[in-house]
Amino acid sequence: MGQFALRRLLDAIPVLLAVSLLIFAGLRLAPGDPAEMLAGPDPSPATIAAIRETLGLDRGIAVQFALWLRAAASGDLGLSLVNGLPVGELLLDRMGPTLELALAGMAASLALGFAMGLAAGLAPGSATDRTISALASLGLATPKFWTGILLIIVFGLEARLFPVAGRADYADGVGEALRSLFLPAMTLAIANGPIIARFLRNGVVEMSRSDHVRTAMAKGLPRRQVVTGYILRNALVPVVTVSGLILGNLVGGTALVEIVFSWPGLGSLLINAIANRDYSVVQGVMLVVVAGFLATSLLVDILYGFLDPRIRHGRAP
Amino acid sequence: MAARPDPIGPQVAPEGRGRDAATRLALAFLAVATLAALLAPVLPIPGYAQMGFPRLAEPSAAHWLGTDQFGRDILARIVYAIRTSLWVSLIGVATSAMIGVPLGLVCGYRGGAIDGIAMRALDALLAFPSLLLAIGISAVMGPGAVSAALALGIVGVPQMARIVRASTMVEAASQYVDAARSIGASAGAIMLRHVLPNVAGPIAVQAALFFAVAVLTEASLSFLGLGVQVPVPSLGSMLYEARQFLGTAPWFALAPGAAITLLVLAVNVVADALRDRLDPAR
Repeated sequence: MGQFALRRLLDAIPVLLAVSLLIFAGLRLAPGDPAEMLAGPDPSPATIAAIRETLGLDRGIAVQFALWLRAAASGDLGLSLVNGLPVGELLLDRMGPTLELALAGMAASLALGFAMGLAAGLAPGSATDRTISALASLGLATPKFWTGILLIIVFGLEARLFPVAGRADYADGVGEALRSLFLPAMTLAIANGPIIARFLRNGVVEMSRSDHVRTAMAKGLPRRQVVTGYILRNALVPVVTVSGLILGNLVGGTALVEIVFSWPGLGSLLINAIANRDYSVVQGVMLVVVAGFLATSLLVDILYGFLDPRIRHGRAP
Repeated sequence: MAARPDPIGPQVAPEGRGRDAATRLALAFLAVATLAALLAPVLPIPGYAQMGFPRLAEPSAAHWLGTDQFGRDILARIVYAIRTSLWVSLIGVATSAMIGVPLGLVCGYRGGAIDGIAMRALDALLAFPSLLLAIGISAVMGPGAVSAALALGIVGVPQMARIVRASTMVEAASQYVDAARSIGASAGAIMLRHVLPNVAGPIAVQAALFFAVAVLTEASLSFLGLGVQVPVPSLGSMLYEARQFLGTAPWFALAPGAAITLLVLAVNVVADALRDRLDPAR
């Protein structure tokens, strides 16, 4: 098992390197000269040249990449081109709210997905199954930002049950903080729950028809035990994979929801940085989010190998 | 990396007549939307930038979906926004096919070092969450409809290339390809004349599935201010504007969101039907 995890970790390193190269090269192609942006209005050519030298922009592109990579590996992601603050600090400030939202969204998605998937899968072809399937298709087609807006109109402005924007800090009361988290997390659940529901539903239907489940029923095991011990355990493998993908996507995919709810996370930082052409911040956010995404896929791969031993022994079905 | 499950997921819609009716309904909706989008300039609706109506007026006989904060007719803007959405998505899908199909064909047929290098490069692209990749590309190229379309195209390349590659590998091992090779057909001719027509089914299915993703991603980009720029309307940017008036004019936010949802839903239903017809193995 340890060897399997190590191999997966080693596989991820070249991908992370290639990704950093893409991010670095991509942003060098972006319009605008960072030195001119930092220099402020009407700078003299000498000032610009001096800034270029401090930033290392006068060196060769390969040297620049190597320097950037070395600095990034030690946590130094440069300075914001707009306000001169260290990018690392900006990211740290925003990472907490994004992780909080992503994890709450994931938990809510799992709860919704399991409820829908089990209800549909245990009664295939029934009216419940068809209704849930239709709702799932609708949830998948609805853009997150519209779901968020609708939730704001209904539960924020009309019913006045939840705040419509912003994040309340836990220091000012746990209840208030959880209330401000509720609508953004529900928005993510409505977008992602249906994906989990579909995989779980199909897994449950397939397993219910399998021989070992029929045997378990025939020898008179209680239905609850058959469902949890025989059907769910096997139906869970694809659900784990897809949940990992969703979690990885959530780390970077909360941007839309963050904008709708004015949530102070990485996504809103990224969008503001793009609007301000603050490319060092854009670069930093991209790098952190993609690294988070890769780390999540890695964890899921390892978990997957744990659930299904055929995979870690290279005998994937 | 573990095999990525299809994000649209396995089929759950019931088989049979209900399904066919849904497909027909979806096709009819798409036909109407496409026709309205194409004919927008000659339809009896105001121009998308035409102001001067009462501001933020509720839906009425004169303005079926109400008016926006500048006194523009929302229905007219939605029709033009669907036009934007459809053409940006179409160019996105076409771009992903123009890069992904040849790449998949060559990698699948040739294998070896080319295949290895190309697949690793695609892995790096797949390491980005897809919306983040689209955001990054739009940011680098500057916001606008063209960069949004190209961003969609690049986002779609890895999956298209992988699907074509997998199907090509199956075809390349078949007897008719052996036969063509033995009579001295060149690799290019075999790929174009023999393999391509046989992998057209999976290509069409992937293009249709990706079209739905493209519509959703285009709307997301323009919601974030990275899509087509003002005053040309897009469904995403209309929603962004509507967000400021949720308290006073909640109807403003209903129609653009409903339009995105219905478009994506209809395309998904048609794509599923296409998959059942062309790709029965899945």
